[in-house]
Amino acid sequence: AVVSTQSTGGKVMCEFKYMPFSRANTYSEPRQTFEEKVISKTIAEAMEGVIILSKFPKSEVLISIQMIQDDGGTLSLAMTAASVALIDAKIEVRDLVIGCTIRFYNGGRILVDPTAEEEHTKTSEGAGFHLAVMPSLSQVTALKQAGKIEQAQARECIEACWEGCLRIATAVKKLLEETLGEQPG
Amino acid sequence: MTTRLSNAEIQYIVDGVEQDFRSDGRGAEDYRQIELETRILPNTNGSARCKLGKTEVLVGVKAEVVDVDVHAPHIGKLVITADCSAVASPKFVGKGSEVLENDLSNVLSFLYNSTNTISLNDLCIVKGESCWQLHVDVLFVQCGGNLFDVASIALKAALYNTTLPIVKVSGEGIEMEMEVSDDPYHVWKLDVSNCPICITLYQIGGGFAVDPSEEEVACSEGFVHIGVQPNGDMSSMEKAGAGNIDPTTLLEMVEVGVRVGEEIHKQLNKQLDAEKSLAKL
Repeated sequence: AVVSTQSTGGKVMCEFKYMPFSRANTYSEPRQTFEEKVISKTIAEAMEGVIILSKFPKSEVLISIQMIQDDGGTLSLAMTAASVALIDAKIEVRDLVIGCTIRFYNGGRILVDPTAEEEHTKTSEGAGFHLAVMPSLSQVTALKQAGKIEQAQARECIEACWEGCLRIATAVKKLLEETLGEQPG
Repeated sequence: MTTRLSNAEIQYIVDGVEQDFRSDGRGAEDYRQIELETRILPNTNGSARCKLGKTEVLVGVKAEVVDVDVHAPHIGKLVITADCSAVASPKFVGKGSEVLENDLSNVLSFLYNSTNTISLNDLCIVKGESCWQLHVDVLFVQCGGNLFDVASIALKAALYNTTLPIVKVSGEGIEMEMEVSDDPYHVWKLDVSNCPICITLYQIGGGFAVDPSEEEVACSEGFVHIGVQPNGDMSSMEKAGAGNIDPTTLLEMVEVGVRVGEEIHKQLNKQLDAEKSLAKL
């Protein structure tokens, strides 16, 4: 890892918003809530490690994400979408960022890519695990675990997420090749 | 809070961390001395002051009786808010500290997101009607790095000595009467045996360290907050900060974080229990 003082590099800003009727049983108000600000910050920080900011001095990259429908795994999906959008915008990035969510149940059962219903089971019954990775460089850009897990189970969760991310990465790369006609990453 | 370092200083710090011998002589897993004082704010239900290095934090817990949440009629509420005092830095005047405060409030609240950290059921007074709402206010008086860990330790200590008045409920339905005792000795305490503390591990160069100084934070790329419970379970985990983390390093961080967390819990509980035996309550 290279350490540098980023006084002249660019900045990354992210604005994440749930659309008013995107979630079941919740009305998302027009103003950005605390939860959305937190998600925005997580995505911005993840992207900061991927975008080659030294190529954009004194500029700002603004990523605007609208979640139209929430059926589980929103944070991971937002990361993947943001990453593909950056490539489409021809902003120089080190690698793709692919996110994957799993739901870990007490007893060891893992559900990859849970639906909203599966995600919202009580925290006493398990934990939600989100991971975002750079598939070619094998680096973790974001990680979030909500709910209790034992230390030994952390490895299982990370491995399950990683595998999920690699599978999605293959599909995303294929799509980019077809649409952009050049090898990404 | 921007630290200016020369390239030589950065290299010195990074090399030190990688070789487990930091610039102040500590190893990568060593915390500085933690000072803790409890029950210092008489108008709160529980309070604590914690000092680590140059960071000083004050936590106050206040309880009030409120209506239950429609979606969760059998549990009480816990609201954690962080505030960076302008005393800590001139940058915190007005809205300057808003981003940092949101961050802190989020991470500290997230620590307690799991139902097995603190029993919110205990805070329920009358199911479907009233419950206790605990307002935990974390005030940063001085900021010298490692804010999250210090705040979480002070938080646990404050909750440990939080006393809530006993409520007598009589009658039912419309005739229900609640009497909150105002006898200062007629109180009950929360069960904090599962409360987590936050251990933040910063990735510096090819290695990682806990409890970094401000200079070490400036050299770091990415960090991980782990909510460690006394029995070694993890109540939450979050990677933050710009910079990517290697997966092998991540798993090592988890292992070290849990180990260090368990040790701090042991020491903290020992001191809090010792203090309890001194009190006349």
